[in-house]
Amino acid sequence: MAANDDETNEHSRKDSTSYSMFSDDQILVDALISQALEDKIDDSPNRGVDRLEQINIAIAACKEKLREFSLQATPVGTPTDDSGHSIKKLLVDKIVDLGLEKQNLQDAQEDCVEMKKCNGHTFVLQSARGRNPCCEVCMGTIWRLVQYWRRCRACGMRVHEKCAEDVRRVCAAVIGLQSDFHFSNKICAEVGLLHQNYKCAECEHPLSYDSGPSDEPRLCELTGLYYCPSCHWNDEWPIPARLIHNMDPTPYPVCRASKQLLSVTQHKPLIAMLDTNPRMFALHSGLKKVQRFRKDFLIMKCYFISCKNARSLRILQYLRQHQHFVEDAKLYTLDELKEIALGGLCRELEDIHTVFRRHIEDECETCRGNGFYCELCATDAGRNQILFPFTDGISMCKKCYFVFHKACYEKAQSCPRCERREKRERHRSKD
Amino acid sequence: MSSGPRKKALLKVIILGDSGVGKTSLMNQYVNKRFSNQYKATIGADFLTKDVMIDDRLVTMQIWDTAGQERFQSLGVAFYRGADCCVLAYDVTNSTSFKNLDSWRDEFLIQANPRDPDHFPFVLLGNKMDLEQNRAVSSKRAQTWCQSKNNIPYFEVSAKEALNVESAFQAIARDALARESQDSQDFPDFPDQIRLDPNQNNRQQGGGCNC
Ligand SMILES: Nc1nc2c(ncn2[C@@H]2O[C@H](COP(=O)(O)OP(=O)(O)O)[C@@H](O)[C@H]2O)c(=O)[nH]1
Ligand SMILES: [Mg+2]
Ligand SMILES: [Zn+2]
Ligand SMILES: [Zn+2]
Ligand SMILES: [Zn+2]
Ligand SMILES: [Zn+2]
Ligand SMILES: [Zn+2]
Ligand SMILES: [Zn+2]
Repeated sequence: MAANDDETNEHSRKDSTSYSMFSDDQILVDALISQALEDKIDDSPNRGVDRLEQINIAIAACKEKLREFSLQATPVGTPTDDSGHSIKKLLVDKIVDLGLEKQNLQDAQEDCVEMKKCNGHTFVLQSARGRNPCCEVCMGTIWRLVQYWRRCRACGMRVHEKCAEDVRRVCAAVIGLQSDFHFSNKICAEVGLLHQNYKCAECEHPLSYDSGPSDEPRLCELTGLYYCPSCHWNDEWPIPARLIHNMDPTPYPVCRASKQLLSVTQHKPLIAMLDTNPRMFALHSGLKKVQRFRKDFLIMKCYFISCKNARSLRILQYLRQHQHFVEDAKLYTLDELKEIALGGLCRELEDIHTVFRRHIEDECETCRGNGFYCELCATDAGRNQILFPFTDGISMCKKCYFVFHKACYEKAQSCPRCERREKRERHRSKD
Repeated sequence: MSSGPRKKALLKVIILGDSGVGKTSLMNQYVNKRFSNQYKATIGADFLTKDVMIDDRLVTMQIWDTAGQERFQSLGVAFYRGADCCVLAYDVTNSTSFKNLDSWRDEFLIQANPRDPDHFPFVLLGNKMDLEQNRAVSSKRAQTWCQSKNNIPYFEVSAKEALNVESAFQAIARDALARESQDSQDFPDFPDQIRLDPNQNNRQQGGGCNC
């Protein structure tokens, strides 16, 4: 908070005309908060007020003041309008700052709460709010108000406090985040109950269609095996192999372990689609387009990492969860394949592509400077057209990566720059 | 200063030479008056600007620092175009960097495509003159090369000790300014970015995604 005050003062010092107004408002906001804090502490003199409580009090006071301001509707153009506006802005800024500090404080506190580690899970103690979930160890209801319970931070599994140590299933995150983890690209044919000895593939509970609901066999489409109702809750999820082979995004029934595994890995770039099913790129127009965008993104990244404007704009952040698109051109996440199969993603990537293109081609002198002019052109107009490796209708020399108009390059049938280089090399070796 | 309102000139200067000769250091010494011994490879081309007085004119120098574009896939040298002066730099302790000057000069002329290549202003800087004990290229040899290229001005400098850097860049600015005032008559030969923009917008519309 102190840093923020300094910044505001710095700002007002530069702009001398608004100096007095600005600092008055700042003092007003600070006075408001300290008054609110003093009031509260007077109310309860027996106990100290910790930082979190202080923040809550300060936020409440700011919000209250902000509400007062909104109620006094000032006609536009009156002299007070302007200063009221600036106080409001200061109040909003303060609330945002306090909110951030509160969040940080809470995160830190959560880390301190005792965590229980069992079978790879990181079970964190939960609060009593919300509806009552089901414990994945004993299958009983978790009565939040009267029972302590925990949730695995990594895979989401919920358990009673008393059941945490009995958990048998290994945490999905432990399996899914191993460096060599990959989805099977085979669509599993069910092997049949007989093959499983009429037992649940996870807990070995006997399975039968006749002896009541607790023994009902349920098929998991990811593993191709049958499970009991404790281990299979009829969750549904798209199956990686079906996406890879058929671009089929339909959710299919999966067991709890599969659901948790798919859930922890859905945003991991794990599927080397180009290697596994290259033919799909010709068959599926959405996938083909996405792949083209990705090729361009890789090239654009070269421009962005050599451009200080792009760095300060953090322009690559536009890719958000698709950051891996600028690491390589191959890997897809399960979620991306699902989106593409459902007809999405292309639009979103097109928008990003447009932003990137606009920076390089129009907005940034540095990036434009890193473009190309075709030196094979016969016409002035052609020779003065700036080209980029992602411009339509260009060819790139495979050897020196120089860029030409496609037509010019096909006519010339060789790269003049490479020729000059070879000539120089020959010259040098003669010396 | 007293010459009344005149167009503020923008001089575009390109520094070329092998990696490691001290291009970035020279620019930093001239623009920021700083030198660092730490070697940090430059990626791609980027420019700094500096306002300087040449006689009675205030001019802005836009100095393009470069890094082996050809080694860094997909980056071109469009920035060569419209240059008012090309500074060739080599390292006096490294004879290869001297031998490569011809290639740098040739490539520059081809890509920049100036109207009158024979009279385009180049300046040669022999950097790291503080390392006299390790010298590999004599001043004489450098001067001979300069003479063979239509009398290119030659300066021996040290970015590290700030020797001659200021005066070399003053000369560079002067040469570029002479070039720039000549150009105001025959400007059309240089592509200007504004004129290119309509083209780009057209192409942008054509390249959309239809899904
Ligand atoms: N001794 C000495 N070293 C220098 C001088 N100029 C640059 N260097 C060093 O040479 C190395 C390459 O310099 P740099 O400016 O990055 O070269 P660039 O690749 O041409 O940009 C760095 O380690 C510099 O510290 C100089 O004048 N004298
Ligand atoms: Mg450099
Ligand atoms: Zn877990
Ligand atoms: Zn339980
Ligand atoms: Zn089971
Ligand atoms: Zn840029
Ligand atoms: Zn061409
Ligand atoms: Zn080539």
